[in-house]
Amino acid sequence: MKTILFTLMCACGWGQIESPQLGVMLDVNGRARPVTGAAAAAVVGTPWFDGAIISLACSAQGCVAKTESALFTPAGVVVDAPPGGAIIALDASSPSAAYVYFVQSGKLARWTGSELVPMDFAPGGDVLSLRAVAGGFEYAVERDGEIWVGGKSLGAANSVLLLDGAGSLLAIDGQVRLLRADGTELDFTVGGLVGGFIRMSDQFVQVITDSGMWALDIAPGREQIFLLPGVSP
Amino acid sequence: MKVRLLCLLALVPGMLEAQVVLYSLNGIAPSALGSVYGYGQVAAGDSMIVRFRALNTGTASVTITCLSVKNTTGAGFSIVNSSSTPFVVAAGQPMDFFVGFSATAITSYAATLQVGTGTATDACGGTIESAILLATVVPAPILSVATPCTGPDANRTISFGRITQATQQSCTFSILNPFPQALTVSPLLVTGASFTTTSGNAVTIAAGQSASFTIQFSPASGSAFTGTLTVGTRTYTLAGTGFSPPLSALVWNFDSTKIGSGEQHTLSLQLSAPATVSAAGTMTLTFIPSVKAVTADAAVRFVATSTRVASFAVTVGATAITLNAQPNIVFSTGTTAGTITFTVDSGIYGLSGSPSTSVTTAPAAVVLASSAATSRANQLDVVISGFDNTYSIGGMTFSFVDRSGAAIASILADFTTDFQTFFKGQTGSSFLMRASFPVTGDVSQVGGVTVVLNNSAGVVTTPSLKFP
Repeated sequence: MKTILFTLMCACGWGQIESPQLGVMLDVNGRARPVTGAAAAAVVGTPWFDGAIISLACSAQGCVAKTESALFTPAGVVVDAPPGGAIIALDASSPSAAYVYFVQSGKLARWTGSELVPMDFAPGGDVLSLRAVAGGFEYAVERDGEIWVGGKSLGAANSVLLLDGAGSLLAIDGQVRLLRADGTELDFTVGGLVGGFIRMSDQFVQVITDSGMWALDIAPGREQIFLLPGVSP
Repeated sequence: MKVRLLCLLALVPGMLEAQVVLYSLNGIAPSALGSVYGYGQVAAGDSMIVRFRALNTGTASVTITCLSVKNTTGAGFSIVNSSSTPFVVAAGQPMDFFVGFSATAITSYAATLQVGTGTATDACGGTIESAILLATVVPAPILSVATPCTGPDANRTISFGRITQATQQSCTFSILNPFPQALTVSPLLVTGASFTTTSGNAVTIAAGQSASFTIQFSPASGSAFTGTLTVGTRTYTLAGTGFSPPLSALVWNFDSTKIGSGEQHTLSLQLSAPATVSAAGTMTLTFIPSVKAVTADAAVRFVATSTRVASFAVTVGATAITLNAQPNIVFSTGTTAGTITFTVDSGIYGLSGSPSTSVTTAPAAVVLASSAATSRANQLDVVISGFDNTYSIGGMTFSFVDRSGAAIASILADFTTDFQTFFKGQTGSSFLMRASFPVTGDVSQVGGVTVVLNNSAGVVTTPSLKFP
């Protein structure tokens, strides 16, 4: 180590400072809006799609959104899709790819980034969440009043979101519980009944309640929940 | 033929009278005047004025040369206002005049009203329209009112003053009979939604005695109210004003006494005493940065609505104020040091004490949201996000260590210009910075880096960031 084998040179320029992107949220009107700024001082931007979105998932690789009749990406790829909402699990191992479960029809498909490829799927219960895992996917179903992932019960909950890795989010009345893969739990209180989760980005999850929109920072060590800016009437 | 015509005209004056027809006016509605017009009962000492009209119903103009009132019984009638005669009235046009009556003696009065259209020289001779005017003077009781009411004034108005709405003001009225015989006052009536009395609708008062009664004024809302009090032949105006008392002083409750940038806080409002009226208004938020180079921060606002205005409401009897229909409201402090001021506008309801309060977010060292280190083939990248509420970030120190943790190099860098340029296009101080370091040699030997960031308020150091 006495011989320094490298030299360091600063090469910062204009383009290397930008506004931090927290993710994409769905506002109360179903418009997908980018969220920027600091966590508790976030600012929402203009919708990137002039229409109502009913399902959405975003990550560092991008977003996949579902309208009533189509699946599309912000890049402009649009394909027809079964009606109703969808559960979207982005596949970090394959950029632009995702698993998409169409709730109304009970059909599962693989989104390749340009088309939907149907998949055989017999979940044996109401599918509540999906996540991509190495070589496939996992899903959560409700059986006998409890949330099950494979043979593991997560207990009773109003909503669930399977996180990348082995963690998950559970909504229990006015509480959101973050279950880590290591078995640790963190609880967050929200002002109202949780109606669902939306993956805003790799780091943030939108928590939809009957009293407001929240964002939960799920990054290890930085877990916090804050209100997302609302949209003026 | 000429003689016969003149005789006919003398015998049938109605043919000429038809050119000028008399009317009395109650307000603006004319009523054809008969041969007798009664003023009715007039209280002793009071005056009563009636408006009359002489209308030219012919097709040619007519000159009114005479306008007179001749008192035939007593002396109470007089013309109080009219145009001077001779007065030319065009076809179809009127001449209005006013005849007043006033007397003190308790008796009956009569007079003859005459309107003549003869030649200028024979005044009220010739063709005359006339009517008998009658009036009766009756004893007038003397009305007085005790404090807090005042009056009656020259316009016969009795004032109950200003009182809080939904409360009651009672005033005692007294009717004095100054005459040497008993006096029956009828009617004795009170009208007006906010005025009530328990008195009967008539009262008999012995000679030289008084009768008392009360009238209550109960304004239901904050506005002016009027009513009438009829005492025999006299009518008085009852007047009073209800008003809303100002809301009591505000009690501001923040969820924390320590408020900094990049935070969300909850504000609730209370009144120091129960509201005496249901009230509503607005609460506004304003922000004045303490950083000279910055004029605004879009993130400083009420979060739920992304606005700086919220509605407030309080119900009568309550102290808790709702904000946007909720018991409290969440606001964001943004990422700029400064003063956030909340101001309540209670509008017509008024407010005791100050309508405003302020919280200050002090300049602070850079707040880090995330930091990471990555490496590429010939380059090391350090990514840091956070905010600087002083907008003075720039100076940094990057301390690199090898895989064993031994120091390799420490690089001082000044990104002040870059940040100032970046901040000019922002409303807020949030940033995501990527610092890249070209490497000559074996990049894998670099194990980690620690970054010290400076601003005008202090220094912050990242955790030790490991290169993969």
